[in-house]
Parts: sequence; C-alpha cells; structure tokens
Amino acid sequence: MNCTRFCECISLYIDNELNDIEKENFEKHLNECKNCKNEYEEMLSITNILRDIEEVELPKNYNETLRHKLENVDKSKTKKFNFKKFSSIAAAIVVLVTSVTLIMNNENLKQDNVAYDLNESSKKMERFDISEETKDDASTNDSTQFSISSLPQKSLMKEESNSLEKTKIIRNESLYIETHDLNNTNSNIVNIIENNKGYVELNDIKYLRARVFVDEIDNVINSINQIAEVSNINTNNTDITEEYRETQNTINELKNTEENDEKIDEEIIVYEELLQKYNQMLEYPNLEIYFNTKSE
Amino acid sequence: MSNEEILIKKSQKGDLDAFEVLIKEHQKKAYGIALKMLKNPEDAMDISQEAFIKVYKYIGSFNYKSSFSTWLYRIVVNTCLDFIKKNDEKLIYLDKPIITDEGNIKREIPDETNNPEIIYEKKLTKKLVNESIDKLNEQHKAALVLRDMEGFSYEEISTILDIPIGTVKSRIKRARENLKKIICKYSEQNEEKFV
Repeated sequence: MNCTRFCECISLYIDNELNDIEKENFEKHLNECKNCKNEYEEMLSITNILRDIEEVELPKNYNETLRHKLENVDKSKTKKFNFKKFSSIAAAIVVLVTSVTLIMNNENLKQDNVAYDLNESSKKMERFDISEETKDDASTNDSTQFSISSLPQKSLMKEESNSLEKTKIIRNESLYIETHDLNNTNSNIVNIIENNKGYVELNDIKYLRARVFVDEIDNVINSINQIAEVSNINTNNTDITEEYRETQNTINELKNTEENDEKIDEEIIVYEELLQKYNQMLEYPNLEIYFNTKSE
Repeated sequence: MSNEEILIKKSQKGDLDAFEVLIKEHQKKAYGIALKMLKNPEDAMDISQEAFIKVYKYIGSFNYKSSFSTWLYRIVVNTCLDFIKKNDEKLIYLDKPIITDEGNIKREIPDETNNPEIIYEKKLTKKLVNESIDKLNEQHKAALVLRDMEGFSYEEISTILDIPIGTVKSRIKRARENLKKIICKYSEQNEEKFV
C-alpha cells in the first residue's frame, strides 16, 4: 500500500470498515511509514475526542412540554397522505414546471389553456363565461346533468391514457357548477372529495380548489356530476414526459459516474427531489370548481 | 407482534400514552443529535420535539421498510437540517462554496497540515474540537454527529440520511479531513493571540 492509498483508508480503518486484506496492508504500511502513522494518529485523536463526549440529559420539562404539544395535534386532520406537504410542494412545482419547460423550450409541451395562474381572482372572472353550446342546454332550466362521456375532452383523454402509458401528464380539471343552494352544494362536494382520497386546498365558497388522487379523480367528477349541475368542464393538461425522462436520465448518469464527488451527491439529491415532486403532482391532479348561483 | 409493533399500532390510532412509551428510549439520542447540530439547548428542545410531533403525525404512513428507530432519526436529522438552512444563512461555513456571478467557487480550506507534527504541538482540546465541528457544513456535521457522537453504524447512517453506503463512507472521510483542517487553522489563530 502506498501513502496516497493509505490516507484514503484512514477514515475507514478507524471505523473498522476495511476488509481483511486491506486492513493487513494498512497496518503494514502504518508500521513502516512514520509520516502516515502521524496522519493516522492525528485523525484518530480527533475522532476519539468526538466519541468521548458525554451523553446529554433531557431538560427537566421536556416530557411535559412534549405531551402538551402532542395533545394539540389534531389526529383526525392527519390523513395517511401528507396533504399539507403536497400542497406546498404543488405550489412550488407549478413555478418549477413552468420555468423548467420555458428553459427546456420543449415543443412537446401541450398546454390547452393557461392552467397555472397566480392571480386567481382575475381568472375567476374570465373563466365564468359559459361556452355557447352549453348555454342552450342550461336555458332549458332543468337539472340536466351532463354525462361525462359525452364531453369530447373527456373521451380524448381516456384514449390518451390508455394508449400512451408512459407519458407523464399532470391533469388539471375545472368544473363549472350551477346551483340554487351554494352552501349545501359546496359542502356536499367537499364531502365527495374528502371521501375519495382527496383534500381541499382552498375553499372560498364560490371557488374551490382541491387535489384528488389520480385514480379517484374521475369518480369524484362523476359523483359531483350526479349531485350538482355541471355546466362545463375544462381539462388542462401539462405534459411533462420529456422533463421527467430527462430528470431520470440525469439521475442515472450521475449515479453511474466513477467519481465519488460530494457535489455529485448533492446534485443527485436535488434531482431526486425534483422527481419526487413530479410524482406527487402526477399522483394528485388539481381539481378546481367554480360555483354560479342561479336565481330562483 | 413485538412490543414495538403494538405500540406503533396504538400510536397510529391516536394513543398518546403508547406513543410516549414508544419514543422514550429514543428521546435522549434525539435531543443529543439536535443539541450537537444546533448548539443551543432551547433550539435543540424545540426542534427535537418538532421531530417527535412529526413522527406522531406521520406514524400512520410508517411502512416498516426501515426500522422504526432509523425512520425516527431520519425525521430528527431532517428537521435539524431544515432549521439550520432556514436560520443560519448569515453564518459562513469554511467549506461551503461561495456563490458568485460566474458560478460557484469552492472555498478551499487552506491545508496547514503539511507538517505532520502540527497537531501534537497544538492543544487538542474538547473545546477546540467542538468549536471546529461547528464550522463544518451541515451535511458533514450530521455525518460526524451520527457516526462519532451518537455511534450509528454506516448502514444505519445510510438509512437515516437516505444515501448509499458509498456516499456515507466518502462523506465521513471528507468531514473528518475538513474538521482536521479547521482545527489546525483555528489552533494556529489561537496561538497567535498569545504571541
């Protein structure tokens, strides 16, 4: 073993992580080389000081204050899925996805409408225009429900999801509801969402934004359709297939590099977090509901 | 079902007493990790308790993929790291890269360890070591806190920090090397004061 290799092994030797052969070579060199021996003993002294530090005692009121804090946690609000974390991640991913797609200048990116906007109140006004074809139906003044399968957007999406399994598409659905009884309809819809692996992010009574688990979102929309008058559905999808694949590839490349560089480790962490965010957005599409009160 | 499993199931249903028993054996270590990472006892108490609250909140999603203790300590370490990131922006770490307009420049800690005798001639005190470990970046500090101060194995650290074992090895090695450089730098500075 030469001096360079020796120095690389000091840390592992201290932790007894060298295999038998390496250990033997290490100890041989240790006895032969004064400089290396000094290096080793310095590292060992420092490590021993760290290891020598006594265990601390808990502060006196630790358990008392912890119990108090635990009692304040409302267990019923805690669901199996970490919704609060998801919603803040979702907000972040909106900005992230938008900027990533701009940077990558991806031509595959499909965005039907500007789905992600920051100024919700202005958007609310814009979106409230009911399209021409549905106006006629609404004017018959009965509670005709629009069956989901009759809407062209929906059937197109079904095709998409069946044939292109590997595409990564973040769904964003907007429902427009007509109601005589705003409060009741709103709370019924909240119940549907919460009973089907969804959670409400924002509820301004006339506007509701929720995230629903991707496998349930169609059920949720169907259920809403059955208990409320849906005058329009807008589907805005963001195709992140390219970005997703590129991120995966980048992670694999970084993991396969020969160098064991700290910076590479940090980069891997960043990309893996990004991938996680993508997955969370894919798993919990956005559902927006706009309520319009009908006059009696 | 083991004792621990019973306590976990009870905690998942909201049994606070069971939860307190479950975490009892981990409290000192958790507080210790927080104290060594954050230095300040009040912060250590707040942050370690915050971690325990998270453990309680998310115990429903604990899936036995890792052991309960490594899952718990992962939450503790991450809560500490989050706190450090939020609050220590002003502190400058000797081995954190400087961010400039042109991109990052890795801040090199000057290597004053050319002379192998250098450490023996300095006073290698607990105080000096403690002050120096504080100057490491948080990832390196976490690695040494877990390995040398709390005695976790490489495997356990790999699970707690969610990094491959290879990364554990290189991170600990680099952390120790940087710590040594910082100690040399600081002990030299201290010596100058007495001149």
